[in-house]
Amino acid sequence: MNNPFFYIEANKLKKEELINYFIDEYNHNEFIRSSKNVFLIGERGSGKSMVLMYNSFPFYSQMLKMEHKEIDYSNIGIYIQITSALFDKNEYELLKDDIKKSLIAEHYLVLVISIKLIENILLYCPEIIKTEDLNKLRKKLLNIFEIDAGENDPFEVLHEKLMRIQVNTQDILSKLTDTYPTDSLSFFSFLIPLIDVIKSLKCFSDTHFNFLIDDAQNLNNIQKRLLNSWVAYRDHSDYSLKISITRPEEYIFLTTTDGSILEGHDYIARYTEGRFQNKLSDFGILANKIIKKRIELFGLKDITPEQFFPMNSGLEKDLSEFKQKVYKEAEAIYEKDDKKKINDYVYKYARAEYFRNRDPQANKPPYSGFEIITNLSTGILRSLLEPCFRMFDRAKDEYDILLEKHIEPDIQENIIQDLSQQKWNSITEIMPTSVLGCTVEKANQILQLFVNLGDLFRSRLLDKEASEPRAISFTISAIEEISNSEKEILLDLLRIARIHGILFKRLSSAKQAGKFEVYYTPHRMLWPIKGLDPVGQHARVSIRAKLLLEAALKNVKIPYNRKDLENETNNIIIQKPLFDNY
Amino acid sequence: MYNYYISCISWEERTLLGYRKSKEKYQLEKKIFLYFDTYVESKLKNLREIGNSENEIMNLDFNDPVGIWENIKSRFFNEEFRDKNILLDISTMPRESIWLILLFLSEKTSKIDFIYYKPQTYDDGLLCFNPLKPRLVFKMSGIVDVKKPNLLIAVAGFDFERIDAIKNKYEPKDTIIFYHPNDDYRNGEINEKIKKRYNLICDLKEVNSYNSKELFCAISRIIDDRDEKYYHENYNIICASLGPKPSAISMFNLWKKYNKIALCYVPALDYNLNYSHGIKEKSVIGSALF
Repeated sequence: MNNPFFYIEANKLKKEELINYFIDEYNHNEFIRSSKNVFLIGERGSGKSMVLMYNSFPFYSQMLKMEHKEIDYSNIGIYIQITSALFDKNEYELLKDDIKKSLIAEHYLVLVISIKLIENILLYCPEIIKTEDLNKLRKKLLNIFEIDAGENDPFEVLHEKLMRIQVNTQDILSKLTDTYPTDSLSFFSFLIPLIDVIKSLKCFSDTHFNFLIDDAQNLNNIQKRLLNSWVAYRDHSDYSLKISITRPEEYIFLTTTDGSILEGHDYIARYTEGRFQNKLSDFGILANKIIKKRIELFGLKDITPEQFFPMNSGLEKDLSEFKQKVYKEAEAIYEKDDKKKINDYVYKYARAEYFRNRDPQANKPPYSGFEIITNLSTGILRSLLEPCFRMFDRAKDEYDILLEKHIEPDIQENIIQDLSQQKWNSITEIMPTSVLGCTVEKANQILQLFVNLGDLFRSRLLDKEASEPRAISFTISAIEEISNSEKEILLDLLRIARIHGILFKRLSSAKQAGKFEVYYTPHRMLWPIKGLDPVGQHARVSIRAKLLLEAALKNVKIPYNRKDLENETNNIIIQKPLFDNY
Repeated sequence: MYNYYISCISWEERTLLGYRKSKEKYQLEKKIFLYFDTYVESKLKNLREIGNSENEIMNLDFNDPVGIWENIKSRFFNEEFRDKNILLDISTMPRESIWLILLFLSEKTSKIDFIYYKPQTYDDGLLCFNPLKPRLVFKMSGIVDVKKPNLLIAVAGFDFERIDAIKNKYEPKDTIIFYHPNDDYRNGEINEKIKKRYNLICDLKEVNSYNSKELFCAISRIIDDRDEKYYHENYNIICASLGPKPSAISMFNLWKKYNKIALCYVPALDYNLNYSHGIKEKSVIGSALF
């Protein structure tokens, strides 16, 4: 039985699979298909590759075929993934001459883009290429590039030539003696003229070529700057660049001449995560659509995600009872007609009341239900699909899922607890061996920080008088209280945690009009082990930098004093919940 | 009799104990020791014992891959080694250095043996941390075809999590992980963790990873078969030796056989200084070139 919740990388999906599974809830497609340069930014697993691949010509034309529509050649997306080992070949570093180093780095980048461009035309555009276009191309290849195609298909000849150059360059550079290839390609001497030549053909005269460059943070610094220089190149009527990166800090936004490329001016920035976190968006709707589609593809047409992943009945009953209880409390405090205030009160306190009233000796809450699974994902698609995948995998060994049409809550609960424990274990077991700059000591410091954050969030959750009891994100305040070197230490720990995927840094509007603030959200999958509510609320706890540092370095508990927090309520923003439909 | 004995000075007891055993058992004419400038204090004792006029010490900067290449090339890509008998002690030598030395020496002589001394005991903790980014080895980075997907072939060891760093960097379409059979409690534990972590997403294969020829043949069989999924013409193959050191010898020979294969090195900045103790009586010795 195939598990419909697989969460493999987009490049491993078949065309039909990607087209069937892809959902563009937030109109990234519109930007990707525009003629503007775009940086698509988001953590691993947030769906960047899927967006780019979906808009690449092979997938787009397949989709049009599946919908029985005519193929549109006005926008041809060329997908280029920067995980090819070609980009990691670093023999050029052995060259003494910096100019030669730069030329080789550029050569590889231009070579890959050119090969992918010609390959896409050869494989997916033969029906629009006429004899006159081929004749014109033959002439231009000879006159401009001195490539004699004879009577052969000039696209084929060009492709073969580029493949030969690909092998020859690597061959020459792999020799033990100091040899250097003489036929290196560059953006201005090859790629731009090549695009001009292709555009001069009648069949492509109205085509905009969209270069979709995935994981550009993997390029070396020379190549990043080169790419930025192309972004800054004024004329992008014939082509544009759509570049995906994980984090701005892992990329440089400078050109080869040390100029900056500017958001708004040279490119538009789109965020695959941030869009889930502002009050106009709702990750819950996207998650619902994705999971519903997967359930349908499995063969269950009329089952909702909530039905497929039902909540534990006891939990559901308790939450409902406490919601009613808190509703009555709110009615006693506010005017019965003041629905907004009553609803806000219920939103803030109902779930917290459930957690407060649990017997301290009781087991952890029976985490289950689609709402909880969605929240545990913290807005990352891969983190949404992985628990579902594992739950399905366990359930299929126990019963016929097609017949039962749901995943038992106790299976969900066990998987969630397993994954939560794994997440904690990964801090000291995996992070030091997989994140650059993470020593064993730093891993322990990060563990201490997160344990203390969990304890702080739990203290607030259990405090009946806390104003935002379910807040599980934080901002850093009073950074001026610590020295520059301490600030570096703290930010380094947060950086490592982010790279490891247990912490997310987001930007949101501050209470002060026109201002933005950075806030941090630990991965919610950490919280089931601590007995916290992963549903959380969209408020943030302001914590002084000094306290965070002490928690990390000395394992000092972050003090919870309601008076201190009340003084800091100005920093706590109440926004539309991440996942609820308020 | 060996004209040259080449080893690497580390803080581990194996450096000195291995050298003494090799001196005792084999006639060694000239001795060359690589010396990296990390953990200087911890290496002092071994350096004092070894650093005398009869031994040559090659100073290398661990953080300078270009410098390492240039120094190793300048020393070993030399007519001095033409047709000589070489004994390469890989016990405490970084894998990249093993590969570079073999790369240059194999151009001058075919008579290269390797020797590997296992520790008597291991510490329970991890071997190394704070990994640097994986990198392809100079001049052994293969011939890449951008049309083909990546295949990662890794030999897993006690710190198998470093495989994740390679997977994240190259996003291989497929991954094959070789692991050593459960021949002691530690292996058993590690293998369970490897299976748990990678069972659903990688192809796991058991092989005696201390037998470099056996490992080489096991991998060759998989990638030689035209009708099989992992046929080498269908992929850009990246090989990583993260398990027992003799697997580095297998990987080098794979590269020599299919020089489109890339060798990948995952250096780390921090090591567990108490990782290993003593030296086993029996060593692994064999020809470094198949």
